[in-house]
Amino acid sequence: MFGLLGKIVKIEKKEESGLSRFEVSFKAACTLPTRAAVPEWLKDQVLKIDREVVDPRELGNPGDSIVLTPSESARWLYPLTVAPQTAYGELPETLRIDLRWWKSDDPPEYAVRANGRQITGKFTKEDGEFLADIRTGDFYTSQPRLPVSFRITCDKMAAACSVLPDDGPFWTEILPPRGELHRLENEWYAVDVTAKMHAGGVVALFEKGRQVDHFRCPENLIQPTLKNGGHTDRLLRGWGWYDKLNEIAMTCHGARREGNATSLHLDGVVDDGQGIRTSVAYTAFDAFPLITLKREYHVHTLKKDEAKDKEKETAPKEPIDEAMPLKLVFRASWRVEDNGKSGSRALCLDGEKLAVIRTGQTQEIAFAGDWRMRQGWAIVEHPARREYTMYLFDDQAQPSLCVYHGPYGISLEPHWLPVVLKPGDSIGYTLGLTAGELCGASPAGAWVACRTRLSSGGVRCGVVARANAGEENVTFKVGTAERRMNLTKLLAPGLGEVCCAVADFPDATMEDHFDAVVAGIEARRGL
Amino acid sequence: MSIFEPQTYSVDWESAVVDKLDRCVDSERLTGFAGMLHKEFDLPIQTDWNAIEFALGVNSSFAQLWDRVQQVTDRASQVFREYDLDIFPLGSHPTEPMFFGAHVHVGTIHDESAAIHLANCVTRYLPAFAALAANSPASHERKGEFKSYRVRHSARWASTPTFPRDPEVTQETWGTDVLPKLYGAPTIEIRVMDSASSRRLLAEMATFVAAFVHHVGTRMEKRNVTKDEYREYLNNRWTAARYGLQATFAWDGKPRPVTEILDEMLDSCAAELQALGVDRSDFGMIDAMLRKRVCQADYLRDLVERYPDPFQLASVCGKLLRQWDIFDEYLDTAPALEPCPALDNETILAEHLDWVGDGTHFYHLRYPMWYSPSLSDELIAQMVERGLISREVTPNRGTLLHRTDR
Repeated sequence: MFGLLGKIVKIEKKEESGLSRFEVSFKAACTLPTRAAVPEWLKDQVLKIDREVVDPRELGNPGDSIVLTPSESARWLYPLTVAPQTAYGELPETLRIDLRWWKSDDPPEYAVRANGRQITGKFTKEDGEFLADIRTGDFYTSQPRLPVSFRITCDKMAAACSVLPDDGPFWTEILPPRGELHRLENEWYAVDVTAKMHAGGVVALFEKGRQVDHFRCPENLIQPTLKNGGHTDRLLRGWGWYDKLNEIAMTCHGARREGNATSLHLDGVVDDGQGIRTSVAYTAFDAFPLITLKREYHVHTLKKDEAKDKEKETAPKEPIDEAMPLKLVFRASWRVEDNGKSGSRALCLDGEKLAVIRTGQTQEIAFAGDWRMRQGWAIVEHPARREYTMYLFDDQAQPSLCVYHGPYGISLEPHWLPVVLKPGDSIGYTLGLTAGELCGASPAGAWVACRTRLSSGGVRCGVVARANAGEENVTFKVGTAERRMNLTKLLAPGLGEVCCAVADFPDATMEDHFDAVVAGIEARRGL
Repeated sequence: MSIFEPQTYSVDWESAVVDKLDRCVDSERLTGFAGMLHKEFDLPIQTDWNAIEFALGVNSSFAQLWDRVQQVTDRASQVFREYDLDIFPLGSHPTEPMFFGAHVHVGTIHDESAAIHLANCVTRYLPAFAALAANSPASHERKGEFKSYRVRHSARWASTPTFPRDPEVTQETWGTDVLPKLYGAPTIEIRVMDSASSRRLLAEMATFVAAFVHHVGTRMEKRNVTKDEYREYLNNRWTAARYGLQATFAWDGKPRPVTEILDEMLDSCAAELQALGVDRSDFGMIDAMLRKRVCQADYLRDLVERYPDPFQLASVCGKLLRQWDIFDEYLDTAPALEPCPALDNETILAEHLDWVGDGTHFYHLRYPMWYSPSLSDELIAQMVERGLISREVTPNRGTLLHRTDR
């Protein structure tokens, strides 16, 4: 979440009642925490905000900085909004466009585009904001096939209302205030992926049954995107992080349906000079609460530069000169419970034993280079919130454990052993990702279960496990109803065996108590 | 007879420098400014990790040091302002990992063996200096629980607890709270103090520390530090970091407010203060701080509460601390604070227990209070006996601890 850093232009005292109240005029200088450039519409604009202080010197003088919280900054960083941002099943009758701030009393016209039609109009001013109501019927005379999007533009600003199908899997682009995202959605999850940074990252993982975003970050705190909530893939070169990866925007090659799954594909250049390219595919399976992520890095032969080649021809060269040591790492982070004092922790196997990892203090790392996560799984649990996420890895190439505990987030950062690459080589991994409201873990295996609402009423339960498959070895209980079924085995490329089970409870609701036992492993309980 | 001849002292005062985007200026850029000030004042002003280090040369009197502090910082402020920069004098930074200290060099001493014995004698007093100097209540997203996160986290290994040494059986070392520094300068260095926000306080503190160490140097004895004495030092060090001048120390086995101890220390070094051209009555700031039990961190703790976002806090701190005398003003009107209770065994146990999560390596329990191996192992055994933690011995990673109540 970003905050504005402004440079103060003027400070005017307003009133004094215990604390002194001032109106501070400032020009936006950058956004925090990255100190990136401000949006074009803020350039040279004088903005105003009230501040209450004990000592006027807390404000400083003209020319000094002023830092706004993310919520204070929102109306300037993302002035154009639309409500609703997303709707399911059918077109909302109207869209409310809200321009929360403009530099003058005469804002530019808005334009709404959908179904090949464009409507422009003027805002009306109400309570200091500029509003417009748009009838969706002016764009569609009958219910369209979903998803569809109403894209609103105004000057350099853009927003969109996405109308999404309430049944069936799909992929679409959405445009929340903080920028464009790609959404993969099925009946279990809605997964939001950014292609604009980190060479692709997962920004949100909504469990649809409970409407919970497992990757939501702490509110109203200035923090780097994905630091305290989300998934990113990382790369170490020798001893140093390949930080360039954080800035890399990817090209989206759209999504496609194949084999009862929807896959989204991104690719990009990590380092032109070194010939490193990357691609990532996110796949949501229709039948099970499982997402897979397949990340690859390819080392290409460099384009020849004649002048440089001539120089190099004279210098002796050994095969080692082309060697490139790379180490794969990913980082998944979640908002931490109880400021890191209790609750949130990681689970995985350590040899034959179940290991439970939570550092005692914040800003500590639990890392063991020799600790291979046997069976190829790790769970991060937040028991007070009943939120559980399991990552699955290739059980033939298990990474080492690393868990970092910050004051705001806990992160799982598994490391694979470094490899040496040369042009023509590639490396990568496939991850499985499942999130839900119950989990079980033991030396015999691990599972995460979730529920979703059936469109016909009732509840569907699903579990993804890394455990022994078997007959009737899954028991779901929802309210007073109980169902037993087989845990069935899938062979997922890159992951190995993954077990799944799904059961419907037509008379149940999401409010009913949910319990499960999977492959003889009980659900974990308590804080 | 003093082991210091002549009696001199200095201070290496570290501070961040920030621009108008609230960024800390990096070491590389600061090098140029340090070089310029070094040349102008003929003082060894240098840089550390993203910090300017005002090393104030060899001083023989309070007046000389106070004059240098003012001249150097006035000029430095002017030079920095030409680049829209401000000095950020604090023991830590709310969003950055660096810690900043005010290291006092006490000289002149040429006998390293004597300096090592002296360090052993001075050790028990170091927590009192830490309490007086506490000025890092917000550090790299940590805040609120300690008045000196710098001491609590041992300045990222740049000011770790000292340990008894015997000149017959020791080697060169670095980074402890007190440190004979003869390999660099003929001084013994006291590193435990946080960087000061107030110039006047810096000068008073440095002079007090120097005079006190000079004083100990007149009655130094070769002595062994007992296990109980060492534990007292470590406990008091933690208490100082936590409570600043509200701390109640264990002193010869009995609870004593740190302000009383400092008061006594000031009186004891009256002759050495005089040798540096000053009387304790000239230490107006220290006197007021002891009377009120208020340290610099207490001024900042109010800001920490009012500005919960670390970036906002950093911005506000920068604008207040550049005033130099903001704490001096605060001290005039600050209410007196009450002493906090002395550390008892249950608190010690709770603090160590707080460092145990699930699968915590037993060695982490060396760091809550930096207990020695035997003390730390005793505590672990106590916690296991009480059922607060369980101990697991693994073949690869050694002993792991698990908290049983979370």
